[in-house]
Parts: sequence; C-alpha cells; structure tokens
Amino acid sequence: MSNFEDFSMEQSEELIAQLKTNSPSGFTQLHSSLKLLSHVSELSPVAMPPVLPSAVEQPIESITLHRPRTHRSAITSLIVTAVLASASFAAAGVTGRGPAVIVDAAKKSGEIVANVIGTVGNTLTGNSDKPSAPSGIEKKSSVPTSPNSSAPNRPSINPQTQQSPTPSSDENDQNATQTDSQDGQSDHPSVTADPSPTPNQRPSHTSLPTHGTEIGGVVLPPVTNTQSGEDSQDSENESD
Amino acid sequence: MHATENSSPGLSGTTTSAQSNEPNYDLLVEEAVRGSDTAFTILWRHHQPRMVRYLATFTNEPEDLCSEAWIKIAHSIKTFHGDASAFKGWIYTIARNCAIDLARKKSRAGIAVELSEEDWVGENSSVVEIMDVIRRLPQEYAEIILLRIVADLDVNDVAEITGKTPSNVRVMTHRGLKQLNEMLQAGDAK
Repeated sequence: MSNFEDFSMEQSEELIAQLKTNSPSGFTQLHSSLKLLSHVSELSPVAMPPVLPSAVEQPIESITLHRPRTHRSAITSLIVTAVLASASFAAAGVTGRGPAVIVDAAKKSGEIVANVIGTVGNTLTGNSDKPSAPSGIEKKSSVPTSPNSSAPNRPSINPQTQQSPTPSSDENDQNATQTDSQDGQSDHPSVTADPSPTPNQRPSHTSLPTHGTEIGGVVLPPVTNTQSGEDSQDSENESD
Repeated sequence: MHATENSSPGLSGTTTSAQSNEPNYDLLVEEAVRGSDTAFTILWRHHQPRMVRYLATFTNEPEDLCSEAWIKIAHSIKTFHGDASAFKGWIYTIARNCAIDLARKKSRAGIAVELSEEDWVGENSSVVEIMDVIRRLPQEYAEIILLRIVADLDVNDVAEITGKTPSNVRVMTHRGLKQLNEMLQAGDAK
C-alpha cells in the first residue's frame, strides 16, 4: 500500500482514472471502496420512470409553476377583463342602459340563452310533452302542425270545442297571440298550439287532431299554457 | 439493444454501437429530446440508480427526490440541447437543485437530514458502509466525490454543476479522497 501522506493531486486523479479502467491501484482499500461505490446495479427492464415526456401536457401547471411572472400577470389580466366584460354585457341586457348596440346585442343574447335554457329544461324534465301551467291557468293543447305528423290515429276535435272547458282561455289566447306578434320568440317551443289560427295557417285544421299530445300512442288530455313562447313555436311548426 | 417499442424510426436498431452492447447515448438523448418515451426510459434506467446514490448525500429519501428530479427533467427535456455528456451534467444539475430546494424547506422546518439503516434497504452492505463514511465527510467533498465516482462526471462537468472552478474541483476531490482514506484506515466504517 502506498503511503497516503505524500498522496498528490495527480495520484488522486490517477486513482479515479484507474477505477474506470479496472487497473489496480496502490491504494488498495480506498480503491476497492470506490470501486464498490461506482458499481451501480442496473434497473429492471420493466422499470418505468415516474413520468414520460409524452404525458407532460399540463398547461395549468405550467402556467402556475413555469411561466414568468409577466406571463402570469398577462393571463390574469385577460381573465379579469373577460369577466368584467361579460358582467357589463349582462348588466346592459338586464338594465337596458348603455350603448344601444350593446344593449340590443345583450338582449338578443339573453333571449337566445333563455330559449336554449327553456328547451334544455323541457327536454330534461319531459315538460315538452307535459307542460305545467301556473296554477289557475290552463295550458293550451298542442296541435300537430305537420300534415305528415303521426296524427292519423288521433281523434279529430274542433279547436273551438277544446277551448270551451277553459273559461279564461280566450284571454289566454289573446295574450298568446299578442305575444306571438310581438316577439316571435319561444320559451317553451314545443309545448302548445295556437288555439286561434288563421285559415291560411291551418288549412286543414278541422281534420287534424288537435286534442292533447301523443306519447307512445297515448294521447294526453289537453292543457293550456299562457306562456307566449309556446304559441310562437306552434306557429313555427305550422309554417312547416 | 433495440428499442423496438419505440415509435420513432430513428431509434430502432441504431441505439447500439456495432462493437458493444453499450447504447448510443448521444442518439438516445437526441431521440428523447424529440419526445421519444422509449429513449427517455432507457436514459432513466441508466442514470436513475446513480442519481439516487448521489442524492443520498442530501436526503434520507433519495428515491423520492430522484423522482421529483426526473419529473422536472421530463417537463423540460424538449428545451435541452447537447450530447449525452452534456445531458448527464444537465440532469445532475436539476437533481442538485431539487436537493437544495428540499434542504431549504427542511431547514426552514427545522428538520435535520439523517440517514437511518432503513434508508439503505436494497443497497449492498459494503456500499452502505462506504456511503456512511462518505456522509461524514464535509458536504462539499462528499458531493464532489460522488459526482466524480458515482455519476462518472469529469472535472469540468462537476465544476459546472457545483459552480466551482475545475482546479477547485480537483483540489476538493483530492482532499476528500484523502480524508476518506484516513477514515477507512481508522476503521470508521461501521
């Protein structure tokens, strides 16, 4: 064994080089210890890293952890601006105050959203077939509007007849007709029919079934609905 | 070695040099930077055990720290430019930074890093003894010895990783080896 007292820096570098070449060294104990240290058993071929590059797709994490502060500030500003703009837009639609163009656009957007919500809600709750009227107000019956609809099995009932059980139906009809002419929009599009159609809208209405709604071959009893949108939807159907 | 599972055509059949079974690490690094999971996995299998041993000088949970380092490597590997040697220096720099971050956190929390016998499960008992001795060296010496012996990095790479000059690295290697030999001679290994 060499004397370590005069162990020079060159010798230490030689010692390290000898570890790589498996050459014997004068410093036996240190050499064998370092040799043990440098020997690392390989991992199993089935071992997998904690994450693969292909799995590294996390934009939110990259924003919070790796983006520079300026990027994060810009993104935050964009989000805040978008929220404020949305809130202002909604407020303009609700209050009707603000630039006319924005108010009009907001109102139209609100109507569209209301239509969509109504349609989705009716679809989810099944109210499209069973419209629920407010208490004290009967819903109008839905009338098949298309000549090709599945109406042939239904009984043919005069619209005047079906209006008679409801004392307030005329008022409701008037309201509905007014609403139709006003906005033409529908909150519940597929629910009811217009009980007072014009002749050219419904040329063969006397032969068409007008009473109730059919679900799986079962005809539901007629109901009335004073919600304006239903009539408009009916008008749309009729125009089809 | 043939990376048949890889979707990258450039990797299959070319990762092995004609004369030996040693993979072509330059090509593996190139493919991993391009996004090849297979190349990345091969590199991980090669470097991970050595990195764990290196990180054992910093923490009693080197495998967890190593996993954290590899996650960071996977996140930023597409930004790497260089060959296999530079890649090795790069990943050890990331591992070292993870270790420093952990040490800071533990320092704030007042947790001392101490290794217990259980932390060395899976290691050869002789290796455990030597690591035990190395951990009694000054931290700088221990780290430089492990980077040079275990990670098999040259002086310049170690200097770059540790932020020292190459000559300083040589001096510290020499002093560390000298102290290590003295401790081994004195039977300090338990």
